[in-house]
Amino acid sequence: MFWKPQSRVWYAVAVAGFGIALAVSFFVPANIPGFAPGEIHSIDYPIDPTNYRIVLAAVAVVMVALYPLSYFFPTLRKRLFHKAQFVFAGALTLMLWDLLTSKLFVLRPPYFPGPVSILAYIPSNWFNLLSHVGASSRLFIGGLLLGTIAGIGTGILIGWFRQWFYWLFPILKFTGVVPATAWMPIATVLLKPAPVAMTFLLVIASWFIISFMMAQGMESTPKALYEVSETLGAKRSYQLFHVAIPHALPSIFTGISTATAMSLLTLVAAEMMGATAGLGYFINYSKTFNKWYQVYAAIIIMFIAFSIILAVIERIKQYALRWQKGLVS
Amino acid sequence: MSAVAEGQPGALDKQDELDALSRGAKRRVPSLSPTQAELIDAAIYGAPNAQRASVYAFADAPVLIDVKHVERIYNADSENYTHALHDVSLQVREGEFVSLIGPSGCGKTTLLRLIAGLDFPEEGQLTVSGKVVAGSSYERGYVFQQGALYPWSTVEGNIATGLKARGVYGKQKHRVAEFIEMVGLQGFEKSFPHEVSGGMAQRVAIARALINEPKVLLLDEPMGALDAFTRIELQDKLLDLWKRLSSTMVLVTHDVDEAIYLSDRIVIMTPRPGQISETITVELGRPRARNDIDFIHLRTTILEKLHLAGEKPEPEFRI
Ligand SMILES: Nc1ncnc2c1ncn2[C@@H]1O[C@H](COP(=O)(O)OP(=O)(O)OP(=O)(O)O)[C@@H](O)[C@H]1O
Ligand SMILES: [Mg+2]
Repeated sequence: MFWKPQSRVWYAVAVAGFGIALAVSFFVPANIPGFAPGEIHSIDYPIDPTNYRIVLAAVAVVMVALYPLSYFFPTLRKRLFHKAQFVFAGALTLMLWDLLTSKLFVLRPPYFPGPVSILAYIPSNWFNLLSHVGASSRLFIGGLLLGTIAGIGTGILIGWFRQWFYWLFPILKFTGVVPATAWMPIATVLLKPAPVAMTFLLVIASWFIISFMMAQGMESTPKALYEVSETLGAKRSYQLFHVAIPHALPSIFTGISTATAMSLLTLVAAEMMGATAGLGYFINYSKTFNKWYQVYAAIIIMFIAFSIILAVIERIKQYALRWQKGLVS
Repeated sequence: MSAVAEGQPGALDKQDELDALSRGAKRRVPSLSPTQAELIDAAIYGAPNAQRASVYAFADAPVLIDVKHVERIYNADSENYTHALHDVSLQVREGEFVSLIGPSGCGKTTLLRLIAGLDFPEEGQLTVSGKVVAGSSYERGYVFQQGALYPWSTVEGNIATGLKARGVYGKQKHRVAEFIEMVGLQGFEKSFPHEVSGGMAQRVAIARALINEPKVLLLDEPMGALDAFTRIELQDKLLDLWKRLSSTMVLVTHDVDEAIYLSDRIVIMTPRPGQISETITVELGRPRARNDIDFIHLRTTILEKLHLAGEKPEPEFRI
């Protein structure tokens, strides 16, 4: 559903919003105040507004350029107009943020850096930031992948063999109840180097839920589906791979979604406590040096990086469950 | 109209006669001439002075399914047990089309599952081709009431299941297309079950069960959930497959018309406990016309028997 897909006015207003934000950046003078005695502050933060202005101008230019193009692409047009109000609100927020921080100093550094500081910082240190993103992503993907493989493996054992259920399920339940982060001190002491310990924590975080959902998905297979395969000449192994596991697939992906959320949580927490690289570590490190603009920059980058990871998982899910398209809404 | 009939006996034309019957009138309508009545009797019961040759062609065929004095009690060791089948004996001959009909809960599904080997009796014995049924086998195809298609598999994939499960898919791949064509599903090979109509889904289920060329196809109300038009279409398809593959079919149905239209014999069952009350041989030539007078008489007879057996004829059984 589209919100006001016909309204050109809001689109124009949105473009104007960026113009206004730009004007504020150019023409409102920065009123740098003196700090009260004893107040924590740092003059060591970037205040060059060039990048901020470039971003504002770029958005406005792109929007203007897209407008004539949208005449040829009806869906694009609807989408653009649909987002217009939101984009306008974004422009206003940026403007307000800029005003309250870099301009009027109502919200003060170092805890409240303006968009100017954050945007000045990110490009100048992109390589450093990227290395942290890489460290986090590597850990996350490795941990989730191992956790998923282990989870599916034990899930199949539990869901298919009574004996395995008897022995494995209580263990699984134990690790499911105890949050993965509780293992952190033990893991960091016993497992070296640090990435191994973190991977272990991520596996713990994702293993239980995926295993549980896998077993549950298999156990809820309707009897008729087994009986059909039986009357078609299927053996037990065929039923496992062509009836029980496919039936569990939607359930597995529910497990993976939950595991993803838990893993991200564990990842950032673990990085903050016992790592020498990664976005979590970087946030913690920046905090100790009172460089709060770096903290905000890291959060923004985290949002982008994790969104990409989630989108990739969603794509895989949609491919694997394409037979469900239209079956469930 | 009945006033006219009473005032002027014999003035009824064929249409009125049909109307009267469909209203559940007794078979011996006053308007029927003695010769007509005799003819009908002959057609239905194979009377000695039949003017019409018997069309039941399986009297000498070998027995394929032999059910002997079968008892099936669900939850036998608990207080709320269900005596689902009592002393059920039935023989189905090779190539025959047999229908099981009876009120809900009379054990039709139970009997079909026993034949399939999906369930086992407390007493009695079932043999297929002389061998005691000890479990399910691809030689006894089974079509479930709701189709029970694999939702994650395409039409093609579902139909190929039997070949894959037996490990002969590599060699017999071509048969999938053959069966898709046989049930008229060309163009839907890549569709998923929820993307095809109910009638198509049932055709997939039937093709899937038939691809292994089972000795007998067991069908549990395969058309129960379909509308009248689709049902008639599918009935013809089923007959077509029955002839083409010369297979044996046992069909469970609630629909008297369906049973008469398709079967060589109709087995009437009664509930509590489930028993076979009667077996009727349908001595109508094929193809059968649903508005044929013999057809309608047979329907009335069966409905009466079902009525006696406890089933109130529901409006859907009438024209
Ligand atoms: N798995 C089961 N456990 C206990 N009782 C059962 C079970 N299956 C069937 N029954 C009972 O056995 C009786 C016969 O059931 P069955 O399903 O064979 O009837 P049916 O003739 O197929 O009925 P319908 O026409 O409604 O499908 C019923 O009373 C039913 O409640
Ligand atoms: Mg039934």
